Amino acid sequence: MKGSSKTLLLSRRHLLKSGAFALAAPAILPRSAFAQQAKTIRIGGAVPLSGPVAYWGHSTAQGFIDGAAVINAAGGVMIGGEPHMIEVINYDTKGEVADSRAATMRLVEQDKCKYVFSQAAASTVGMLQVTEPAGVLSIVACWGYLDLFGTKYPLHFRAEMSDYEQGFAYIPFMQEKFGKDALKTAAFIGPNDQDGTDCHFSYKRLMDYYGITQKAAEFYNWEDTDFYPIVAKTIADKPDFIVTSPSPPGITASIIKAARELGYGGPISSPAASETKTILEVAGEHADGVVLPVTNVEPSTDTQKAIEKRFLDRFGSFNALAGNYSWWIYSLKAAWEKAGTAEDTKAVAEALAQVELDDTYVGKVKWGGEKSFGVARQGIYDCYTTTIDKGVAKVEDIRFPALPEDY
Amino acid sequence: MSDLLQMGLTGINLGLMYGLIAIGLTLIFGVMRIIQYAHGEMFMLGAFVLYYWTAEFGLPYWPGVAVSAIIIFGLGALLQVTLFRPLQGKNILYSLAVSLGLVLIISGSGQLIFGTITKGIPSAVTGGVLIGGAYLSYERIVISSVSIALIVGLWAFLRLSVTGLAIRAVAEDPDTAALQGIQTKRIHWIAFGLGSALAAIAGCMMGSLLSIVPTMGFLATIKAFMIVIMGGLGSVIGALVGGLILGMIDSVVTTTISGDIALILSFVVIFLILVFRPAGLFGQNWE
Repeated sequence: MKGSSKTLLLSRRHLLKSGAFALAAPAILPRSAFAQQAKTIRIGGAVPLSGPVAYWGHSTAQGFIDGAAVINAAGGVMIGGEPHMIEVINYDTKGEVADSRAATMRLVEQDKCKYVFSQAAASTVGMLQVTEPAGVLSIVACWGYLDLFGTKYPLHFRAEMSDYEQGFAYIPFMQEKFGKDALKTAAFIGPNDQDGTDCHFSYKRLMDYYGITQKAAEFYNWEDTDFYPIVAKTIADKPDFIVTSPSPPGITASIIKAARELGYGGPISSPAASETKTILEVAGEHADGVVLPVTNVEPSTDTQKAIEKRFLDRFGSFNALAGNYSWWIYSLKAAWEKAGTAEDTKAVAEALAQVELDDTYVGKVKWGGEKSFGVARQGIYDCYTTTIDKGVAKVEDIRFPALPEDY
Repeated sequence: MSDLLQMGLTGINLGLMYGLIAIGLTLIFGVMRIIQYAHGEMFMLGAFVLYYWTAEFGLPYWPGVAVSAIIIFGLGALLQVTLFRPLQGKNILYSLAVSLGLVLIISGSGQLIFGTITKGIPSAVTGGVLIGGAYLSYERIVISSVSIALIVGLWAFLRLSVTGLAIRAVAEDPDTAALQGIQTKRIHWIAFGLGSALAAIAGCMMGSLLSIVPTMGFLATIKAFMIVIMGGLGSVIGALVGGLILGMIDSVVTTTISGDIALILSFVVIFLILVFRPAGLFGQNWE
């Protein structure tokens, strides 16, 4: 893609500009402007804007910046008949627990944010050390650390579907596409950290539910450079398909390339990659047969097309992952209006758990998981599954996860 | 049998790539006695030069590798002249601090300039061949061949060329070399540039095989240091042998047991080597 570096630079520049404007607005705008606006709701982002997972952080922050601009332009959030403008403040966590904790402290104590968002496990862990005791509502994308989720954390929402929830959409799809008999055994490849262990636990539950036998589970070190050895070991057990979770796009692409070069021809599913450009660049001809859940590479509805256009105009770039995160702020808006308050975070949390949106970038959205976690705090939405065939990525399936009764 | 062969071929391939990264680092230390912690950043920058050359501008692969090597040679030479030359003869901690600062600056700037999305360099060749039941891609054959050619070329350069002999003389004893009329300052920037260029070529090779991100340099530096300590600081042959040992451990142990055990075993081997040969397998005592 020509000029991607430029667009990324623009993206970051726009992001910083938006953050700077948000911070400077009270000083720049005349008092009368604020008198008219009356009230402001501050949302703080403690997200990785640098470091290995910065791509995820930028995508998340973009969703809030864009959403705030759209909501403000439309008159703001109406609470008790009074308009409230949204202000978004972002700080970089570098993807580190300590930096995330510090950034969240700053958001809560200095910026007086009652609503914060984050991305990835380390930033979430750091954030939660601050938010729950302070009565601050948090929305994050985090699949692991399930002990930090549920009834003990009533203000904590996980908006992104983990590999477990995604599985109830992409496994049925794969069974239809490849045939149940062709998918009797599976293998798991993930990182050897808490996230990898938790995702393997979810994957195992998923495979047990569908009666699929686990042939192998391999965990790589983040320091690994070549995936030939671990892939060779995995495919020696001859699994019918491989799940790489929660591996980012670059590592997923390297695993796919190694598997194909070593003669593995089965489907490879990557619930975390949510991106096709890197996979196609790195794996090239070997990317065929890859299944990418929650990856909408073809915006088709008016809402999806509008989001893509706005992101391109505002940030200079757009990716499916940013689209996936774009609904979070609209869900909050609905909760504020439903609860009739932005001050009482407990009331907002209860209202948020009831919010359902029908037309977002990821289609229909609701919060679930009450029977599994004791509270409905897990985002569930239409799963757009993209496949790669002959070097071309296309959305091949859209379905709402058919979660079990006891979820 | 084919599994063993696959492990062996993968190990050799990995080892040669690791060796290529480490040789540049050991060359810089051997000549200048400084710790170039930002060696991995040269590796990263080399990969990104090739990425823009091929993927963004659509230009041919191999000239891109050459351009990358030349640019990073120039950058390395510039860094030596401006930052490391003033530290010559001072405590090694000074160069360590400067190179650590370079890591932060280059890696951070890399994220601003190149973005945070993982990128892939289109491969120069595709396809592969079955050897005794083990698969070897043409890409890996090319990478191994380039690594061998560069290592042999460097070995020949250091032994047969006037500049190479001067580099060895400076590495052996800079004061005596200077007394013999060798311009040690010139040799320093040449060696630093050469070491950086080798890292850049390694970055191009591994970037094509795997994927590239601005933070990739850190892991390359760690691997390079493990290899250099194992093979002996300042030894080109040591870097090659160290790379091959690490590559074989990574391949065989990861395939047969697990990646965690491979990492642990790598360090156990390093500790054992340091216990029985404190200067590394082929190193000399720099005390």
